[in-house]
Amino acid sequence: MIIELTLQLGLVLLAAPLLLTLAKKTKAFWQSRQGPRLLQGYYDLVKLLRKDILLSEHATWIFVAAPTIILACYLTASTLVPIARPTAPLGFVGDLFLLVYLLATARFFMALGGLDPASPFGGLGSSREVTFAALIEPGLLVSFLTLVAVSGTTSLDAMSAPLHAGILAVPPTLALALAALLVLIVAELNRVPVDNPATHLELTMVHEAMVLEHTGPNLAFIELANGVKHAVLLAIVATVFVPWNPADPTTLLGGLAWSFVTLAKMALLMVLIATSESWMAKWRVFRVPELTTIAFLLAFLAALGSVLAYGGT
Amino acid sequence: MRLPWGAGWTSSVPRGKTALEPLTLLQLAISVLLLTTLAAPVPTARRTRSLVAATGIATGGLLAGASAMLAIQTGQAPDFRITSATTSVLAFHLRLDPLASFALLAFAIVSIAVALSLPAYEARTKEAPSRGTGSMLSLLFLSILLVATAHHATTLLAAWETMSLAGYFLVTARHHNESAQRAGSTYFVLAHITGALLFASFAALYAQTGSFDFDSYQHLAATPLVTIAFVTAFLGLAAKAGLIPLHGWLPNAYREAPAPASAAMSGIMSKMAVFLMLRYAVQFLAPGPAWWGYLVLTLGALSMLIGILYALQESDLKRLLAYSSIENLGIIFTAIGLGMLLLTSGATTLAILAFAAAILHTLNHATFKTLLFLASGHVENEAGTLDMDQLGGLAKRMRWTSAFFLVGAIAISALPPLNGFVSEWLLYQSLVGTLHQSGAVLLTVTLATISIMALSGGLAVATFVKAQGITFHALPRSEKAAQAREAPTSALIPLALLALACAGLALAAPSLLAATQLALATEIPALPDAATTTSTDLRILPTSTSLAPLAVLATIAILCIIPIILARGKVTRSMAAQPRGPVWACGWRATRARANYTSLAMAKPLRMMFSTMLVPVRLVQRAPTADVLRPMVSFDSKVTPLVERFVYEPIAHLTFLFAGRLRIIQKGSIRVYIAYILFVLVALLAYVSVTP
Repeated sequence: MIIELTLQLGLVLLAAPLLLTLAKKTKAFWQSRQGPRLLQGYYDLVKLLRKDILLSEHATWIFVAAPTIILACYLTASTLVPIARPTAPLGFVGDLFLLVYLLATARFFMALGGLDPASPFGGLGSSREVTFAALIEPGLLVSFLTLVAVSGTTSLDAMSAPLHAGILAVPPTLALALAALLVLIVAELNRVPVDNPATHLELTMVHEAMVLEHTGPNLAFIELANGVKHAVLLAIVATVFVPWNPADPTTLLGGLAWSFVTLAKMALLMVLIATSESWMAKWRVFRVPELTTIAFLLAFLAALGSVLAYGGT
Repeated sequence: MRLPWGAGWTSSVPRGKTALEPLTLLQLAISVLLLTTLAAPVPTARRTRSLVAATGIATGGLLAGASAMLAIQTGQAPDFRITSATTSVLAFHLRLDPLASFALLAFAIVSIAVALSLPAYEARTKEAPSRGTGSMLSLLFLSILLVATAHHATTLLAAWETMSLAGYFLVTARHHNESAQRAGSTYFVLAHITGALLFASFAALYAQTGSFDFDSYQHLAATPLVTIAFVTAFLGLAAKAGLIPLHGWLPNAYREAPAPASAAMSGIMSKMAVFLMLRYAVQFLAPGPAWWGYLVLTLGALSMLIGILYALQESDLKRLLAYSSIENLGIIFTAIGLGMLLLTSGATTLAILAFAAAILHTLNHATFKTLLFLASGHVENEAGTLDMDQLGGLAKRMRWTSAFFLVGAIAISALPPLNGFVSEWLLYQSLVGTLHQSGAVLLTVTLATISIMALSGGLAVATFVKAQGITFHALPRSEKAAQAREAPTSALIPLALLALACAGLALAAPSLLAATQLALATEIPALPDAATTTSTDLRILPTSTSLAPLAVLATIAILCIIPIILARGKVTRSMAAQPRGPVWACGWRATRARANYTSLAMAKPLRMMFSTMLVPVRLVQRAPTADVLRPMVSFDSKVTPLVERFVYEPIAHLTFLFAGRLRIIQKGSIRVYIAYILFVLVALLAYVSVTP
């Protein structure tokens, strides 16, 4: 288990900066620019880690500790998702709720870190972040219930078993749930149309406004944590909702191929999200509830259909 | 008598004749609290009075907690009974059964913490509460102890009314304040309605069984009388717990009471409604019709969502905590309602899980809500206000209070790895398990409940980020807040103990869960269980190892090492050694607190998004002033309390209208009243002579 855990954490930490750069690169492609090098994410991290911290004169220990706690929460969340192997290193019965609430823990410290240094922007970012998150959470949880109802488990790595077995093979409910999940993941990852990761304009920032005051290693951790969050949520789509993988993970070589295919699926998803981002404008803050409500309704319908069809079995 | 439910624990403990029987400890606790109630107001010095009350309550709490632990360990359910030779109506009957034992565990945690904080609070408070506060607090705890262990309707009702009365004197402890008087009157009216409904419920049970002793109320089938008993009891208990729409008394009462009293009322007094409800659900009533469960579940889910929505909109720290109590009681009643529904559909194992979630959340909420209310007391005393828009920056001035409040905020937002997460996780698991029952209505309601719970969870995070962030972080928004000092060390000790308890209850969750499940299994008769044997349940039901919060905590802590190593000491050095600079404000030096987000601003997006439910109103007034270029503008904004306006006001209006009509028979002459008495007497005699 320790080996599995180390392997997966290493993989996630390596993939995290790459995913973010991939998104930037894709957006640059659609804007006819060259964009950053693929390894730029790593260079940025190394550069930030070498720098010193500069704190707001009003900051307290929460502000310094927050990035570390946030990164640890996302890394813990990543151990509940199958990425390197078809079984999650620390998965257990009911880890779905732990995952959702670990995301909330990270958000709690992120938002508190936004308020703490007395920056005029921090509060704005924190307020919007907790607002959006509250709207996202029901849909996010309910979209999983489509699979939960069929598989009868709330464990992330066992949830997709019915898909392997061919139940729900051409499933309208699964399609609805997946659509809802994709919309909500885009929102949870603070990407267009809910937030724009590339903006630093005061009126439109959400995530960036919260982390504006972070410097040096702490900024590096925030960036890395953001990458890990991308990896976790994309891996959920790639391994739980679309679990098909041609490699046979029982052999050593097949195992390597399995994780490679998973990573490739995650990269593909990232490219798709970045592409959709290039074709869309950011929405006004008060239009976001429309988006999350539609996604929630889709997820609810999907779960209801699935529960009525497969519940009681 | 030795019940099997303790067997899981007793195996490792050597059994034998112990010198201390649980019952002896319980009796001692009662006597100590009784003596404290009588002795506390006697000394002339305020300090001595609060010391006497604190010592007495803490001793009582310790004894009660010890007796509960002993009862759980030895698996005894001892009785204590004083009966009247002539009538069965009057009896004093206590029984330390499993449910009572768990209630006493919560009682011990709250009472000890409240007692320890009392002397420092009374020494530091600006507005001295009245002389009898310590005594009334002791009376409150005494009556709660009796309510928790009562096993006879007369005993229960007497203790219940005493509890309500003691609560009234605590709400109005600062009786010079008009707001405290008003909060007290509302509380008094609703407490009496609760009492009346409980009287009605036990009257119905008496009519059904011919007894007031709880021994005769065992899984009664749903006859019309039992239905009346259930509905009246539920409405009464919902009012006591502050479920929406019966919550009107709660925010003001908790706001006006001194902080230790608010902690006691929210921490344990409102929980008595939960334990009595559980008694009805698992002891008194056999699985009834499904609408009973739906009724409890719906009101619970409604309170969960609306409670937290109002909490988020509050800018008074204690009122925020009060509304959050409504949310948490909503969660607990949701779990009870779900358990009742599952019992009705025959899934006993899942039902036990839901009830266990209710008991554990009750225990957990007692711990962290007491912590938060006591910390709010420190803020009130040291910063002179509870208005969050006047606070801020307290994390630098009240470091420990702020840190302990943070622990409570994390726990109450149900964030892992603390105890709030564990009990909400159990409720989620039992809800998901319900998805495998049959019946379209049940499934839809379950899905809706999961959604509401997830939304409330997200809103709870928003609420407590606001409570912590606006109160303790950024810049102080007033002179008073800027001059706040840390509370005395003696006042920090109870907070530290409660913060430890939050972690301890999370770590002890697997064994506590096993104990509650065993306890409930003895109460709930073995019904034909359709679902337990299917493999589905095995994938839903937690085992002792399936959720180990210790493992979650350890993982998070270990993974913190990665960034700490990467930062090479930059994040771990002391705060004084960190380089500092001004914050970025587009080139301005934003050193003014007014540039920071306020409580209202923080909650504004959700206020606008839920404006149909909250109906926010704003009052902008331009004062006539001579200065044309700089007019004075005042701004006020608040949310409309819809329930108060559309439920309470019409009822109060109708009551007064009816009372006005009744005035016709009031003549103010004693002869007329004697005539009335004579008339009633004659009518009664006629009635008795006519009926066989």
